[in-house]
Amino acid sequence: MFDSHFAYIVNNPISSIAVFVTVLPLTLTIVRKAFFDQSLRLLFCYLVAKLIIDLAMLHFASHRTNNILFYNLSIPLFYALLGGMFYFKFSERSRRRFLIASIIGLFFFCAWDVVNSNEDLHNMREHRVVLYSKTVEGVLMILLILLYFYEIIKSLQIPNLLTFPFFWVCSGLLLYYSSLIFIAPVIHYAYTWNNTMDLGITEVIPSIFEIICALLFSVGIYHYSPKDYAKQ
Amino acid sequence: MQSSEELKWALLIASLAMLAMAFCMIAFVMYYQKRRFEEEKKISDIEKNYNRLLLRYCAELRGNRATQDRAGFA
Repeated sequence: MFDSHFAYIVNNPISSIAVFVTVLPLTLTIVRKAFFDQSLRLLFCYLVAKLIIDLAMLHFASHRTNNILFYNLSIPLFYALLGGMFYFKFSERSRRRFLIASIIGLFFFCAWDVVNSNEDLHNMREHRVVLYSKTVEGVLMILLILLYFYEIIKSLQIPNLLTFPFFWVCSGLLLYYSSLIFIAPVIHYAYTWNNTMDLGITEVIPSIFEIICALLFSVGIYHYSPKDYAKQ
Repeated sequence: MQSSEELKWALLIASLAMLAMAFCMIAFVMYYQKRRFEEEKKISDIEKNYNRLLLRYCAELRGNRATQDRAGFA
C-alpha cells in the first residue's frame, strides 16, 4: 500500500526528513504545554498545518500527481500564522497595523500571482509555482524578524537570549527564509513536468534549512516553561 | 547549458551569502544584547556605589552638626 511512498522517501531523503522532522517540535509543544503562550500557540497551528500540507504533498508526489497547488495555497496561510506570532510581540501599534496590512496584502498578491503564473487555471496537471509570492513572503518575514530583534535590543527586557524560546524560533525562521529568498523565484521555472533546469545541490538548501529551522524551533520550545509564561 | 550552470553557481553563492548574513545577524544580536546588559549593570553598580557614598557623607555631616550642637557652636 505504501510502496510508492517508501520509494519516494528513499529517492528524496532530505525533503522527506524535512516533512517528518516537524513532528519533533509538535511533540515538544504538547509535552511542554507551550501553547499557553499566544505566539507559540500560533506556531503550534503552523506546525500542524505544515505537517498536514507536507504529508498531502508527499502523497501526491509519490503518485506522480501535481501537488503545486498545495504549495501555492500554503504561502498566505503560513505567512498569516507565522507573521501573526509577531502581533503579540510588537509593542508599537504602527508595527501591528503594518503586520495586519501585510497579511491581507500578501493574500491578495498571492491570489493575483497564482492567476498570473498559470495561463490555464483549470489545468491542474500543468499548475505552476507562483513567481513572486514566496520571495515577497521571505522579504516580509525577514523584515518582521529584524524589527523584532531591534525591539528586543532596544527594550532590554530579556537578560539571556539563549533561554528565550521566541529568539530560537526567530533564528530558525531567519535562516530558513534567508536560504530560500534567492531560490524561490527560480523554482517557478524549475518545477515543471518537462523540467529542463536542474538546480543540483541548490535545490536541497531550503530543505536542509527547513530541517535546521524545525530543530531550532524544538530547542526554543524545550526552553519554554509554563511557570515563566507571565514573564515572557 | 553554460548559462544554466552559471545560474546554478550564482544561486548557490547568493544563497550562501544570504545565510552568512543571517548567521552574522543572529550572532550580532546575541553579542550586542549581552554587552548592553553588562553596561547597564556597570552603570547600576556605579549608581549604587555613589548613593552609598552620598548617604555616608550625609550621615557624617549630620554627625558633625550634632557634635557641634552639643558643644554649643550652633
